[in-house]
Amino acid sequence: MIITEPKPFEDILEMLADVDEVSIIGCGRCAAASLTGGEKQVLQMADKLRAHGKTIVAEIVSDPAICYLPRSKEVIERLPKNGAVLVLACGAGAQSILEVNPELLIFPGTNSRFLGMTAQVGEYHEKCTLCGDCLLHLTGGICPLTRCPKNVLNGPCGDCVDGKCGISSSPFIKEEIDCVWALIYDRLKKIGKTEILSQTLPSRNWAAKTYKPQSIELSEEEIKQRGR
Amino acid sequence: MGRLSEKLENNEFVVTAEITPPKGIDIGRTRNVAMQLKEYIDAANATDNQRGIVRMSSMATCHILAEVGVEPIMQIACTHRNRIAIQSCVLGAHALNIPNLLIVTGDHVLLGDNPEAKAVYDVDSIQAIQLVKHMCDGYDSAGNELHPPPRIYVGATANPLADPLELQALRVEKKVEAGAKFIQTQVVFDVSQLIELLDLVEVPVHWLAGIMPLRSAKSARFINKRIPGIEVPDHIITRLEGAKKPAEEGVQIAIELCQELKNIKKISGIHIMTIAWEESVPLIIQGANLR
Ligand code: SF4
Ligand code: SF4
Repeated sequence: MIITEPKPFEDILEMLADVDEVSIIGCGRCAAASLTGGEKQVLQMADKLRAHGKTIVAEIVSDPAICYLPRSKEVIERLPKNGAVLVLACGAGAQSILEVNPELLIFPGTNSRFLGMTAQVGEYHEKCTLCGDCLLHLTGGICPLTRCPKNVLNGPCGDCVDGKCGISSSPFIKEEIDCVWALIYDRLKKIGKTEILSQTLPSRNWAAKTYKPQSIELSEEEIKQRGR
Repeated sequence: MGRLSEKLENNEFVVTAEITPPKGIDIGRTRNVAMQLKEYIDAANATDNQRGIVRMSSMATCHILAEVGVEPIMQIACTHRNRIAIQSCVLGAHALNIPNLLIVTGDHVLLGDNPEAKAVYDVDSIQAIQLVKHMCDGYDSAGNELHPPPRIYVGATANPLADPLELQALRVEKKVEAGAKFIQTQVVFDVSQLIELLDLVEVPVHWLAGIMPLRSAKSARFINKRIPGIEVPDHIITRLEGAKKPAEEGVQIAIELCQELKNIKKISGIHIMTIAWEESVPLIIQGANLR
Protein backbone atom coordinates (compact mmCIF):
# COMPACT_ATOMS: atom_id res chain seq x y z
CA MET A 1 0.00 0.00 0.00
CA ILE A 2 0.94 3.66 -0.30
CA ILE A 3 2.22 4.88 3.03
CA THR A 4 1.45 8.52 3.77
CA GLU A 5 2.32 10.91 6.56
CA PRO A 6 0.25 13.87 7.70
CA LYS A 7 1.46 17.23 6.53
CA PRO A 8 2.30 19.53 9.45
CA PHE A 9 -0.90 21.31 10.46
CA GLU A 10 0.78 24.72 10.11
CA ASP A 11 1.48 23.90 6.46
CA ILE A 12 -2.14 22.98 5.93
CA LEU A 13 -3.29 26.22 7.55
CA GLU A 14 -0.91 28.16 5.37
CA MET A 15 -2.13 26.60 2.15
CA LEU A 16 -5.74 27.20 3.22
CA ALA A 17 -5.03 30.79 4.29
CA ASP A 18 -7.36 32.29 1.64
CA VAL A 19 -10.01 29.61 2.00
CA ASP A 20 -12.98 29.97 4.34
CA GLU A 21 -14.98 26.92 3.35
CA VAL A 22 -13.40 23.53 2.82
CA SER A 23 -14.47 19.93 2.36
CA ILE A 24 -12.39 17.07 3.66
CA ILE A 25 -12.13 13.69 2.05
CA GLY A 26 -10.14 10.76 3.44
CA CYS A 27 -9.39 7.37 1.98
CA GLY A 28 -10.50 4.29 3.85
CA ARG A 29 -7.77 2.09 2.44
CA CYS A 30 -4.06 2.99 2.43
CA ALA A 31 -4.48 6.35 4.17
CA ALA A 32 -6.64 4.82 6.88
CA ALA A 33 -3.96 2.18 7.46
CA SER A 34 -1.34 4.94 7.64
CA LEU A 35 -3.51 6.71 10.22
CA THR A 36 -3.65 9.76 7.98
CA GLY A 37 -7.01 9.58 6.22
CA GLY A 38 -9.41 7.29 8.06
CA GLU A 39 -12.56 8.37 9.81
CA LYS A 40 -10.85 9.50 13.01
CA GLN A 41 -8.29 11.59 11.18
CA VAL A 42 -10.95 13.25 9.01
CA LEU A 43 -13.05 14.15 12.08
CA GLN A 44 -10.01 15.42 13.95
CA MET A 45 -8.94 17.52 11.01
CA ALA A 46 -12.44 18.99 10.75
CA ASP A 47 -12.37 19.96 14.43
CA LYS A 48 -8.96 21.52 14.19
CA LEU A 49 -9.88 23.52 11.12
CA ARG A 50 -13.12 24.69 12.73
CA ALA A 51 -11.10 25.85 15.72
CA HIS A 52 -9.18 28.00 13.24
CA GLY A 53 -12.32 29.56 11.88
CA LYS A 54 -12.90 27.41 8.81
CA THR A 55 -16.32 26.19 7.76
CA ILE A 56 -16.32 22.49 6.96
CA VAL A 57 -18.68 21.81 4.08
CA ALA A 58 -18.35 18.04 3.87
CA GLU A 59 -16.55 15.25 5.72
CA ILE A 60 -16.25 12.07 3.71
CA VAL A 61 -14.19 8.90 3.92
CA SER A 62 -14.13 6.93 0.72
CA ASP A 63 -14.00 3.20 0.98
CA PRO A 64 -13.39 2.01 -1.96
CA ALA A 65 -9.96 3.56 -2.35
CA ILE A 66 -10.29 7.02 -3.88
CA CYS A 67 -7.89 6.01 -6.66
CA TYR A 68 -10.23 3.21 -7.81
CA LEU A 69 -12.57 5.30 -9.93
CA PRO A 70 -14.84 2.46 -11.06
CA ARG A 71 -16.17 2.44 -7.50
CA SER A 72 -15.02 5.70 -5.95
CA LYS A 73 -16.55 7.97 -8.61
CA GLU A 74 -19.92 8.09 -6.90
CA VAL A 75 -18.31 8.89 -3.54
CA ILE A 76 -16.32 11.73 -5.07
CA GLU A 77 -19.51 13.04 -6.65
CA ARG A 78 -20.91 13.53 -3.15
CA LEU A 79 -18.41 16.37 -2.66
CA PRO A 80 -19.69 19.90 -3.38
CA LYS A 81 -19.65 20.92 -7.07
CA ASN A 82 -16.80 23.36 -6.51
CA GLY A 83 -14.60 24.90 -3.84
CA ALA A 84 -11.68 23.67 -1.79
CA VAL A 85 -11.07 20.03 -0.86
CA LEU A 86 -8.48 18.93 1.62
CA VAL A 87 -7.50 15.41 0.62
CA LEU A 88 -6.31 13.04 3.32
CA ALA A 89 -5.06 10.40 0.90
CA CYS A 90 -2.03 9.80 -1.27
CA GLY A 91 -1.14 11.97 -4.25
CA ALA A 92 -2.75 9.50 -6.64
CA GLY A 93 -5.99 9.71 -4.67
CA ALA A 94 -5.89 13.50 -4.68
CA GLN A 95 -5.48 13.63 -8.44
CA SER A 96 -8.15 11.02 -9.02
CA ILE A 97 -10.65 13.44 -7.50
CA LEU A 98 -9.77 15.97 -10.16
CA GLU A 99 -10.50 13.42 -12.88
CA VAL A 100 -14.05 13.16 -11.61
CA ASN A 101 -14.60 16.86 -10.89
CA PRO A 102 -12.09 19.33 -12.36
CA GLU A 103 -13.95 22.25 -10.73
CA LEU A 104 -12.62 21.37 -7.29
CA LEU A 105 -9.51 22.98 -5.83
CA ILE A 106 -7.22 20.27 -4.46
CA PHE A 107 -5.20 20.74 -1.26
CA PRO A 108 -2.99 17.84 -0.17
CA GLY A 109 -3.23 16.99 3.53
CA THR A 110 -0.61 14.26 3.48
CA ASN A 111 2.83 13.56 2.09
CA SER A 112 3.01 10.32 0.13
CA ARG A 113 6.09 8.50 1.31
CA PHE A 114 6.47 5.04 -0.15
CA LEU A 115 5.01 1.77 -1.32
CA GLY A 116 5.25 -0.50 1.62
CA MET A 117 3.94 -2.88 4.16
CA THR A 118 2.07 -2.22 7.38
CA ALA A 119 3.78 -4.55 9.84
CA GLN A 120 1.40 -3.54 12.59
CA VAL A 121 -0.66 -0.44 13.20
CA GLY A 122 1.85 2.41 13.22
CA GLU A 123 4.79 0.49 11.74
CA TYR A 124 5.49 0.81 8.03
CA HIS A 125 8.34 -0.40 5.86
CA GLU A 126 9.14 0.42 2.26
CA LYS A 127 9.18 -2.70 0.10
CA CYS A 128 9.08 -1.77 -3.57
CA THR A 129 10.14 1.17 -5.73
CA LEU A 130 8.05 0.05 -8.71
CA CYS A 131 11.08 -0.47 -10.91
CA GLY A 132 9.03 -2.05 -13.66
CA ASP A 133 11.03 -5.26 -13.98
CA CYS A 134 10.79 -7.32 -10.84
CA LEU A 135 13.80 -9.45 -9.97
CA LEU A 136 12.78 -10.85 -6.62
CA HIS A 137 13.31 -14.41 -7.89
CA LEU A 138 17.03 -13.60 -8.13
CA THR A 139 17.35 -12.15 -4.67
CA GLY A 140 15.55 -14.58 -2.45
CA GLY A 141 12.44 -12.43 -2.43
CA ILE A 142 14.10 -9.34 -0.91
CA CYS A 143 14.34 -6.19 -3.03
CA PRO A 144 17.82 -4.61 -3.31
CA LEU A 145 16.54 -1.76 -5.49
CA THR A 146 14.29 -0.64 -2.68
CA ARG A 147 16.46 -1.35 0.29
CA CYS A 148 20.00 -0.57 -0.87
CA PRO A 149 20.54 3.20 -0.81
CA LYS A 150 23.05 2.81 -3.63
CA ASN A 151 20.96 0.56 -5.90
CA VAL A 152 23.75 -1.99 -5.81
CA LEU A 153 22.61 -5.01 -7.79
CA ASN A 154 25.72 -7.08 -7.29
CA GLY A 155 26.26 -6.42 -3.65
CA PRO A 156 27.14 -5.66 -1.09
CA CYS A 157 29.36 -2.61 -1.49
CA GLY A 158 32.42 -2.24 0.71
CA ASP A 159 30.44 -0.37 3.35
CA CYS A 160 28.68 -3.47 4.62
CA VAL A 161 30.24 -4.18 8.00
CA ASP A 162 28.74 -6.72 10.40
CA GLY A 163 25.79 -6.97 8.08
CA LYS A 164 24.94 -3.30 8.60
CA CYS A 165 24.68 -0.65 5.89
CA GLY A 166 27.38 2.01 5.86
CA ILE A 167 24.77 4.71 5.47
CA SER A 168 23.91 4.14 9.13
CA SER A 169 26.79 6.45 10.06
CA SER A 170 25.02 9.38 8.42
CA PRO A 171 23.66 11.85 10.97
CA PHE A 172 20.38 11.66 9.01
CA ILE A 173 19.82 8.01 9.81
CA LYS A 174 18.39 7.47 13.27
CA GLU A 175 18.73 3.72 13.60
CA GLU A 176 21.32 1.36 12.26
CA ILE A 177 19.94 -0.31 9.16
CA ASP A 178 20.67 -3.76 7.81
CA CYS A 179 22.59 -4.10 4.56
CA VAL A 180 20.02 -5.62 2.24
CA TRP A 181 22.70 -7.77 0.63
CA ALA A 182 23.52 -9.36 3.95
CA LEU A 183 19.80 -10.12 4.31
CA ILE A 184 19.63 -11.51 0.77
CA TYR A 185 22.68 -13.65 1.43
CA ASP A 186 21.20 -15.09 4.63
CA ARG A 187 17.97 -15.80 2.86
CA LEU A 188 19.67 -17.50 -0.09
CA LYS A 189 21.69 -19.60 2.32
CA LYS A 190 18.52 -20.63 4.08
CA ILE A 191 16.82 -21.74 0.88
CA GLY A 192 19.99 -23.31 -0.51
CA LYS A 193 20.25 -20.95 -3.46
CA THR A 194 23.50 -19.02 -2.95
CA GLU A 195 24.68 -20.09 -6.40
CA ILE A 196 22.38 -17.40 -7.82
CA LEU A 197 24.87 -14.86 -6.51
CA SER A 198 27.63 -15.99 -8.84
CA GLN A 199 25.92 -14.39 -11.82
CA THR A 200 26.47 -10.70 -12.43
CA LEU A 201 23.15 -8.93 -12.77
CA PRO A 202 23.14 -6.62 -15.79
CA SER A 203 22.42 -2.90 -15.64
CA ARG A 204 18.76 -1.96 -15.48
CA ASN A 205 16.55 -0.56 -18.15
CA TRP A 206 15.19 2.61 -16.56
CA ALA A 207 13.39 3.70 -19.71
CA ALA A 208 9.95 2.83 -18.37
CA LYS A 209 10.67 5.00 -15.34
CA THR A 210 12.04 7.92 -17.32
CA TYR A 211 8.99 8.09 -19.54
CA LYS A 212 6.46 10.06 -17.54
CA PRO A 213 3.66 9.80 -16.83
CA GLN A 214 3.31 6.08 -17.21
CA SER A 215 -0.01 4.68 -18.33
CA ILE A 216 -1.29 1.26 -19.20
CA GLU A 217 -4.36 0.99 -21.36
CA LEU A 218 -5.59 -2.47 -22.18
CA SER A 219 -7.69 -3.17 -25.24
CA GLU A 220 -11.07 -4.87 -24.85
CA GLU A 221 -9.41 -8.02 -26.12
CA GLU A 222 -6.63 -7.89 -23.52
CA ILE A 223 -9.07 -7.26 -20.73
CA LYS A 224 -11.00 -10.32 -21.82
CA GLN A 225 -7.80 -12.38 -22.01
CA ARG A 226 -6.75 -11.45 -18.50
CA GLY A 227 -10.20 -12.28 -17.31
CA ARG A 228 -12.61 -9.83 -15.82
CA MET B 1 49.65 2.15 -21.56
CA GLY B 2 51.22 3.67 -18.49
CA ARG B 3 53.80 2.86 -15.91
CA LEU B 4 51.31 1.45 -13.40
CA SER B 5 49.99 -1.20 -15.76
CA GLU B 6 53.44 -1.98 -17.07
CA LYS B 7 54.89 -2.58 -13.64
CA LEU B 8 51.89 -4.53 -12.38
CA GLU B 9 51.82 -6.73 -15.44
CA ASN B 10 55.56 -7.33 -14.98
CA ASN B 11 54.92 -8.24 -11.35
CA GLU B 12 56.93 -5.32 -10.02
CA PHE B 13 55.94 -3.75 -6.70
CA VAL B 14 54.14 -0.41 -7.07
CA VAL B 15 53.33 2.50 -4.81
CA THR B 16 50.40 4.81 -5.44
CA ALA B 17 48.92 7.65 -3.45
CA GLU B 18 45.68 9.51 -3.25
CA ILE B 19 45.67 13.19 -4.04
CA THR B 20 42.61 15.09 -2.93
CA PRO B 21 41.46 17.50 -5.65
CA PRO B 22 41.33 21.14 -4.65
CA LYS B 23 38.30 22.62 -2.97
CA GLY B 24 38.12 25.65 -5.19
CA ILE B 25 40.08 26.68 -8.22
CA ASP B 26 43.55 27.00 -6.75
CA ILE B 27 45.62 24.28 -8.36
CA GLY B 28 48.88 25.48 -6.84
CA ARG B 29 48.78 23.14 -3.87
CA THR B 30 47.85 20.16 -6.05
CA ARG B 31 50.80 20.88 -8.32
CA ASN B 32 53.16 21.24 -5.35
CA VAL B 33 51.98 18.04 -3.72
CA ALA B 34 52.29 16.18 -7.02
CA MET B 35 55.84 17.46 -7.50
CA GLN B 36 56.78 16.44 -3.97
CA LEU B 37 55.44 12.93 -4.49
CA LYS B 38 56.63 12.48 -8.05
CA GLU B 39 59.84 10.62 -7.33
CA TYR B 40 58.23 8.35 -4.75
CA ILE B 41 55.15 6.99 -6.45
CA ASP B 42 54.20 5.20 -9.65
CA ALA B 43 50.80 6.81 -9.99
CA ALA B 44 48.35 8.99 -8.11
CA ASN B 45 44.66 8.68 -7.70
CA ALA B 46 42.42 11.76 -7.79
CA THR B 47 39.13 11.16 -6.01
CA ASP B 48 35.69 11.84 -7.50
CA ASN B 49 33.87 14.16 -5.10
CA GLN B 50 34.55 11.74 -2.28
CA ARG B 51 32.03 11.63 0.55
CA GLY B 52 29.74 13.71 -1.61
CA ILE B 53 31.78 16.85 -0.96
CA VAL B 54 32.19 19.17 -3.94
CA ARG B 55 35.75 19.37 -5.25
CA MET B 56 37.48 19.84 -8.57
CA SER B 57 36.71 16.97 -10.92
CA SER B 58 38.93 13.95 -10.89
CA MET B 59 39.52 14.34 -14.62
CA ALA B 60 40.79 17.92 -14.36
CA THR B 61 42.94 17.05 -11.35
CA CYS B 62 44.37 14.06 -13.24
CA HIS B 63 45.26 16.39 -16.07
CA ILE B 64 47.22 18.60 -13.66
CA LEU B 65 49.00 15.53 -12.30
CA ALA B 66 49.94 14.41 -15.80
CA GLU B 67 51.24 17.91 -16.59
CA VAL B 68 53.76 17.74 -13.76
CA GLY B 69 54.75 14.19 -14.64
CA VAL B 70 52.76 12.12 -12.16
CA GLU B 71 50.84 9.30 -13.81
CA PRO B 72 47.17 9.78 -12.96
CA ILE B 73 44.46 7.32 -11.99
CA MET B 74 41.08 8.87 -12.64
CA GLN B 75 38.25 7.94 -10.30
CA ILE B 76 34.65 7.47 -11.29
CA ALA B 77 32.03 7.13 -8.57
CA CYS B 78 28.66 5.69 -9.56
CA THR B 79 27.13 8.10 -7.04
CA HIS B 80 27.60 11.02 -9.37
CA ARG B 81 27.44 9.63 -12.89
CA ASN B 82 25.03 7.69 -15.02
CA ARG B 83 26.17 5.36 -17.79
CA ILE B 84 26.33 8.20 -20.31
CA ALA B 85 28.51 10.40 -18.10
CA ILE B 86 30.75 7.45 -17.23
CA GLN B 87 31.43 6.77 -20.87
CA SER B 88 32.07 10.38 -21.73
CA CYS B 89 34.56 10.54 -18.84
CA VAL B 90 36.38 7.49 -20.20
CA LEU B 91 36.64 9.09 -23.64
CA GLY B 92 37.78 12.34 -22.05
CA ALA B 93 40.40 10.51 -20.02
CA HIS B 94 41.81 9.03 -23.18
CA ALA B 95 42.03 12.44 -24.78
CA LEU B 96 43.85 13.83 -21.74
CA ASN B 97 46.38 10.98 -21.58
CA ILE B 98 44.96 9.54 -18.42
CA PRO B 99 45.86 5.87 -18.70
CA ASN B 100 44.22 4.46 -15.56
CA LEU B 101 40.76 4.38 -14.10
CA LEU B 102 39.45 3.37 -10.70
CA ILE B 103 35.73 2.65 -10.54
CA VAL B 104 33.98 2.84 -7.20
CA THR B 105 30.37 2.57 -6.09
CA GLY B 106 30.98 5.84 -4.26
CA ASP B 107 30.01 7.22 -0.90
CA HIS B 108 26.36 8.01 -0.46
CA VAL B 109 25.48 11.71 -0.55
CA LEU B 110 23.76 11.36 2.83
CA LEU B 111 27.24 11.09 4.34
CA GLY B 112 28.44 14.36 2.88
CA ASP B 113 27.59 18.03 3.08
CA ASN B 114 25.03 17.93 0.26
CA PRO B 115 22.59 15.41 1.67
CA GLU B 116 19.75 16.95 -0.37
CA ALA B 117 21.39 15.95 -3.67
CA LYS B 118 19.94 13.15 -5.76
CA ALA B 119 22.40 10.29 -5.89
CA VAL B 120 22.61 8.70 -9.35
CA TYR B 121 23.48 5.00 -9.04
CA ASP B 122 22.29 4.18 -12.55
CA VAL B 123 24.77 1.30 -12.73
CA ASP B 124 26.69 -0.35 -9.92
CA SER B 125 30.47 -0.54 -9.89
CA ILE B 126 30.60 -4.02 -11.45
CA GLN B 127 28.25 -2.98 -14.22
CA ALA B 128 30.35 0.16 -14.74
CA ILE B 129 33.50 -1.95 -15.11
CA GLN B 130 31.69 -4.12 -17.68
CA LEU B 131 30.69 -0.98 -19.51
CA VAL B 132 34.26 0.28 -19.74
CA LYS B 133 35.47 -3.10 -20.94
CA HIS B 134 32.78 -2.99 -23.60
CA MET B 135 34.09 0.42 -24.68
CA CYS B 136 37.64 -0.86 -24.88
CA ASP B 137 36.29 -3.71 -27.00
CA GLY B 138 34.98 -1.07 -29.37
CA TYR B 139 31.37 -0.38 -28.43
CA ASP B 140 29.43 2.07 -26.34
CA SER B 141 26.46 1.06 -24.22
CA ALA B 142 24.07 1.68 -27.12
CA GLY B 143 26.04 -0.79 -29.23
CA ASN B 144 27.53 1.93 -31.42
CA GLU B 145 31.04 1.35 -32.62
CA LEU B 146 33.82 3.39 -31.06
CA HIS B 147 36.42 3.68 -33.67
CA PRO B 148 39.16 3.55 -32.55
CA PRO B 149 38.22 2.30 -29.09
CA PRO B 150 39.70 3.91 -25.96
CA ARG B 151 42.38 2.14 -23.98
CA ILE B 152 42.37 2.39 -20.24
CA TYR B 153 43.68 0.26 -17.37
CA VAL B 154 40.84 -0.39 -14.97
CA GLY B 155 40.96 -0.96 -11.26
CA ALA B 156 38.33 -1.46 -8.60
CA THR B 157 38.10 -1.54 -4.82
CA ALA B 158 37.44 -4.07 -2.08
CA ASN B 159 37.10 -3.89 1.67
CA PRO B 160 38.77 -6.57 3.80
CA LEU B 161 36.70 -5.39 6.74
CA ALA B 162 33.41 -6.02 4.99
CA ASP B 163 31.35 -8.73 6.52
CA PRO B 164 30.16 -11.23 5.25
CA LEU B 165 33.65 -11.48 3.79
CA GLU B 166 32.78 -14.27 1.37
CA LEU B 167 30.41 -11.87 -0.40
CA GLN B 168 33.21 -9.33 -0.67
CA ALA B 169 35.42 -12.01 -2.20
CA LEU B 170 32.70 -12.95 -4.66
CA ARG B 171 32.40 -9.32 -5.63
CA VAL B 172 36.13 -9.06 -6.27
CA GLU B 173 35.84 -12.08 -8.54
CA LYS B 174 32.95 -10.45 -10.39
CA LYS B 175 34.98 -7.25 -10.76
CA VAL B 176 37.91 -9.14 -12.19
CA GLU B 177 35.63 -11.04 -14.53
CA ALA B 178 34.10 -7.72 -15.59
CA GLY B 179 37.53 -6.37 -16.52
CA ALA B 180 39.26 -4.99 -13.43
CA LYS B 181 43.02 -5.54 -13.51
CA PHE B 182 43.88 -4.30 -10.07
CA ILE B 183 42.08 -4.12 -6.76
CA GLN B 184 42.78 -1.28 -4.38
CA THR B 185 41.71 -2.15 -0.87
CA GLN B 186 40.05 0.01 1.71
CA VAL B 187 42.38 1.16 4.48
CA VAL B 188 44.02 -1.78 6.25
CA PHE B 189 44.92 -1.71 9.92
CA ASP B 190 44.64 -5.42 10.55
CA VAL B 191 46.78 -7.37 8.10
CA SER B 192 45.28 -10.73 9.06
CA GLN B 193 41.88 -9.53 7.83
CA LEU B 194 43.36 -8.63 4.47
CA ILE B 195 45.01 -12.03 4.21
CA GLU B 196 41.68 -13.66 4.89
CA LEU B 197 40.17 -11.82 1.93
CA LEU B 198 43.15 -12.59 -0.32
CA ASP B 199 42.76 -16.26 0.48
CA LEU B 200 39.07 -16.25 -0.31
CA VAL B 201 39.48 -14.72 -3.77
CA GLU B 202 40.16 -17.44 -6.26
CA VAL B 203 41.03 -15.43 -9.35
CA PRO B 204 44.42 -13.79 -9.88
CA VAL B 205 44.47 -9.99 -9.71
CA HIS B 206 46.96 -7.33 -8.65
CA TRP B 207 46.25 -6.23 -5.10
CA LEU B 208 47.16 -2.76 -3.84
CA ALA B 209 46.83 -2.61 -0.06
CA GLY B 210 45.35 0.61 1.29
CA ILE B 211 47.28 2.48 3.98
CA MET B 212 46.23 5.57 5.89
CA PRO B 213 48.47 7.50 8.26
CA LEU B 214 46.57 8.95 11.20
CA ARG B 215 47.35 12.35 12.64
CA SER B 216 45.87 11.85 16.08
CA ALA B 217 43.61 9.73 18.24
CA LYS B 218 40.91 12.30 17.59
CA SER B 219 40.99 11.83 13.84
CA ALA B 220 41.00 8.04 14.35
CA ARG B 221 37.83 8.36 16.40
CA PHE B 222 36.24 10.59 13.81
CA ILE B 223 36.94 7.97 11.15
CA ASN B 224 35.40 5.25 13.27
CA LYS B 225 32.31 7.30 13.85
CA ARG B 226 31.73 8.86 10.47
CA ILE B 227 33.46 6.93 7.70
CA PRO B 228 31.84 3.62 6.90
CA GLY B 229 34.01 0.65 6.03
CA ILE B 230 37.09 1.71 8.02
CA GLU B 231 37.81 0.74 11.58
CA VAL B 232 40.82 1.91 13.51
CA PRO B 233 41.48 -0.73 16.17
CA ASP B 234 41.70 0.28 19.82
CA HIS B 235 45.38 -0.62 20.19
CA ILE B 236 46.27 1.90 17.49
CA ILE B 237 44.15 4.61 19.09
CA THR B 238 45.91 3.90 22.40
CA ARG B 239 49.30 4.20 20.72
CA LEU B 240 48.34 7.55 19.19
CA GLU B 241 47.00 8.76 22.49
CA GLY B 242 50.13 7.85 24.38
CA ALA B 243 52.50 9.39 21.84
CA LYS B 244 54.25 12.71 22.50
CA LYS B 245 54.03 13.52 18.80
CA PRO B 246 50.93 11.73 17.55
CA ALA B 247 51.45 12.63 13.89
CA GLU B 248 54.92 11.07 13.94
CA GLU B 249 53.49 8.04 15.64
CA GLY B 250 50.80 7.84 12.95
CA VAL B 251 53.47 7.79 10.26
CA GLN B 252 55.40 5.15 12.20
CA ILE B 253 52.31 2.93 12.43
CA ALA B 254 51.81 3.27 8.68
CA ILE B 255 55.46 2.35 8.09
CA GLU B 256 55.14 -0.78 10.18
CA LEU B 257 52.03 -1.82 8.28
CA CYS B 258 53.77 -1.28 4.94
CA GLN B 259 56.70 -3.40 6.06
CA GLU B 260 54.36 -6.19 6.98
CA LEU B 261 52.34 -5.87 3.77
CA LYS B 262 55.21 -5.79 1.34
CA ASN B 263 56.28 -9.25 2.44
CA ILE B 264 52.95 -10.80 1.52
CA LYS B 265 53.34 -12.56 -1.78
CA LYS B 266 49.94 -11.76 -3.19
CA ILE B 267 50.32 -8.01 -2.55
CA SER B 268 51.47 -6.15 -5.66
CA GLY B 269 51.69 -2.72 -4.16
CA ILE B 270 50.70 -0.15 -1.58
CA HIS B 271 48.18 2.62 -2.01
CA ILE B 272 48.52 5.46 0.48
CA MET B 273 45.44 7.49 1.29
CA THR B 274 45.70 10.54 3.46
CA ILE B 275 43.08 13.01 4.48
CA ALA B 276 44.69 16.02 2.79
CA TRP B 277 48.03 15.07 4.40
CA GLU B 278 49.93 14.11 1.28
CA GLU B 279 53.17 15.41 2.86
CA SER B 280 53.29 12.24 4.95
CA VAL B 281 53.53 10.01 1.88
CA PRO B 282 57.29 10.38 1.24
CA LEU B 283 57.99 9.77 4.94
CA ILE B 284 56.08 6.50 4.85
CA ILE B 285 57.64 5.35 1.60
CA GLN B 286 61.16 6.12 2.79
CA GLY B 287 60.55 4.72 6.23
CA ALA B 288 59.29 1.43 4.87
CA ASN B 289 61.97 1.25 2.18
CA LEU B 290 59.38 1.03 -0.56
CA ARG B 291 61.70 2.97 -2.87
S1 SF4 C 1 12.55 -5.58 -8.07
FE1 SF4 C 1 12.00 -4.43 -6.26
S2 SF4 C 1 11.42 -2.41 -7.02
FE2 SF4 C 1 11.35 -3.80 -8.75
S3 SF4 C 1 9.21 -4.47 -8.82
FE3 SF4 C 1 10.37 -6.00 -7.64
S4 SF4 C 1 10.13 -5.37 -5.51
FE4 SF4 C 1 9.55 -3.63 -6.77
S1 SF4 D 1 26.07 -1.53 2.76
FE1 SF4 D 1 24.63 -2.84 1.60
S2 SF4 D 1 22.67 -1.76 1.60
FE2 SF4 D 1 24.25 -0.30 2.23
S3 SF4 D 1 24.83 0.74 0.35
FE3 SF4 D 1 26.25 -0.97 0.59
S4 SF4 D 1 25.32 -2.68 -0.51
FE4 SF4 D 1 23.73 -1.14 -0.26
